[in-house]
Amino acid sequence: MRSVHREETGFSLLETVVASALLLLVMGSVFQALNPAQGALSTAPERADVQQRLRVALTVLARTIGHAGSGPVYGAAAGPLVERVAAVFPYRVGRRNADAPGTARPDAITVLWVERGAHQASLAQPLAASSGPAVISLASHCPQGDPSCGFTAGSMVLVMGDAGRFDLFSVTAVQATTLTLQHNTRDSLFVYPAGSAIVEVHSRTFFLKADAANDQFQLVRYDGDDGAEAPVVDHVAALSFRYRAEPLPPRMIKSVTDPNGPWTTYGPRPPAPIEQPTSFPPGENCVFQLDGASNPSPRLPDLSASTLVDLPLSQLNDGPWCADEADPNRFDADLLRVRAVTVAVRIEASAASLRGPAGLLFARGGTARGADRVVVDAEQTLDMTPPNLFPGR
Amino acid sequence: MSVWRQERGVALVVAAMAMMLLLAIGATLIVVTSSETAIAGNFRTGGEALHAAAAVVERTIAELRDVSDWTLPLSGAMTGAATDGPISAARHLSDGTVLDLSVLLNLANCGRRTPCTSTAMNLTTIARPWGVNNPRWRLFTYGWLDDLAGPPAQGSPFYVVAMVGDDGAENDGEPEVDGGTHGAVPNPGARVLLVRGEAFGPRGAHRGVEAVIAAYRMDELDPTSPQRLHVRAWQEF
Repeated sequence: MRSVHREETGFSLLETVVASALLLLVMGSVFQALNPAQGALSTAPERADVQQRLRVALTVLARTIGHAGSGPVYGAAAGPLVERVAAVFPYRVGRRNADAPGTARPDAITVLWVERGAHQASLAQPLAASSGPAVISLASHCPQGDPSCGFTAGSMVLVMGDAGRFDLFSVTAVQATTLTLQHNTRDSLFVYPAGSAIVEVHSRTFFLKADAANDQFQLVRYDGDDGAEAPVVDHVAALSFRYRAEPLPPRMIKSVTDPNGPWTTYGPRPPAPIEQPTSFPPGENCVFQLDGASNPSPRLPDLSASTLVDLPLSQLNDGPWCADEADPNRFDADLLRVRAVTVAVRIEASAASLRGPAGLLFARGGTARGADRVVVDAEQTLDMTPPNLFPGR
Repeated sequence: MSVWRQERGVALVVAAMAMMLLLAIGATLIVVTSSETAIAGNFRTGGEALHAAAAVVERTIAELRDVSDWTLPLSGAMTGAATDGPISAARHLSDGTVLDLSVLLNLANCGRRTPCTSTAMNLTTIARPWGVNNPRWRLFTYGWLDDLAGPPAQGSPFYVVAMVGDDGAENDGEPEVDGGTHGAVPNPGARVLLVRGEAFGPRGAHRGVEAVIAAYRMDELDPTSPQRLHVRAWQEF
């Protein structure tokens, strides 16, 4: 009995120290083995999320930009948009917070396209470039039995004139052949003549919203009307667009007096020699001028290359302007020669604790303390050549 | 001695717990990374499918450039140079899916897998709002992308199909005739055609493109003047 009690009186100091040291050694080894695994576990989902957000951003941009320039398929205005107006703009277009004419931003793009199956008609009466009613003419391609040719409230329409002039409207009400329109581009005194094309259209702007105060860096979408902006992807560290252009200037395919187009390789058909619809001299417009023999010759320069040419932003806001310099919705005529768009998107980890110091790997610095617990920014560049910007085959 | 004996085996428990923790971490990582690999794979094949569909549309447009009478493809009197056998034969994709071209045609013409009646094809819907002028899609080119592209084969697993149809601007009520007459009224759909391309590949990849093309001549009064084509609209569907 005594010997048992003696054995249970406790551990000696030496035993405790040795046991603690052994425990420390074992636990240290275990945690050393677990630490990298835990680091990988904490960063892997975020790394996958960064890749997924990058895919979403590229998919959305590619799908939209890929439609750029798809035009109406019926009526006198049938053809890709680049025969009349630009389809890609390096700035924000629309009713809310539109960029001023002459802007060229690297982080914004607006794309116009006419959706497959979009409703199309022509104006039965002249239409002022401001909010108000529009009366349309029905045509054989209108949906059978529909007195409004398929137009419905809530859609956006594009009205195109000759000479590169265009305006965007939202349809707010429809009654038979009368559409009530709200103007989405800047008002002007211009009046579109009867017979001008009116087409359902999509206008979509993507831009980088950088709000450092609220830590919001988002790819944002805006559809050109009264609707709100919609965030597409969060934590976009950088977004940029570059443009490449057709090196050849536009040229005439047919005489301006020919009743059927296409009349030009791209850009609006010049007016007849005695007509002056813009501030350009009679017979001229933003892409054609009259030569010594009074024949249309290109106003845009030959860029002297055999392949597409990079167009710096400075070349997209220096004119000549379509429809002309006085048009409040004017655009640089060089936008008509854009054939390819390069998009660069950079996505960062959403948590600052997974981002290292600002530099090559991280556009915006974070608070990560170890190299094994960081998620490097993901960046991808995408070259797109929208088929509608190459109408000739 | 008895105390030590009671504690024998605790190292095994500690080791087992550590192993289980590592196993859980490892399993989670495998799930995350394999999902990511699958997503990336689908993303890639989706993009390839879109390019394959665009390729067959471009090929069809190139062939139609040399056809002066577009009633021939619309009526089925001619097809493209590349077809890979009877329509009724089953096509087996690399992922085991069986592609039935007649079903594909029916889906395009009336939205059903079963053969379309005239009534079904003339039905006015949002997608086909032109009634008797609704397009009657016909197969024009179909085959493996590798065979269509010619040597050297790139090992593409995609099967591509191109169809042609009359455009909705036609007013003749004859969707198998291009630019038929409708009394004295000019036919605005003359020399305008729809081309629809679809591509099918592994992992259920399927993308489609539809283009509206128009033909014109430099001198419309001279039928020997070379025919040129103009893409009015090109979109993915």
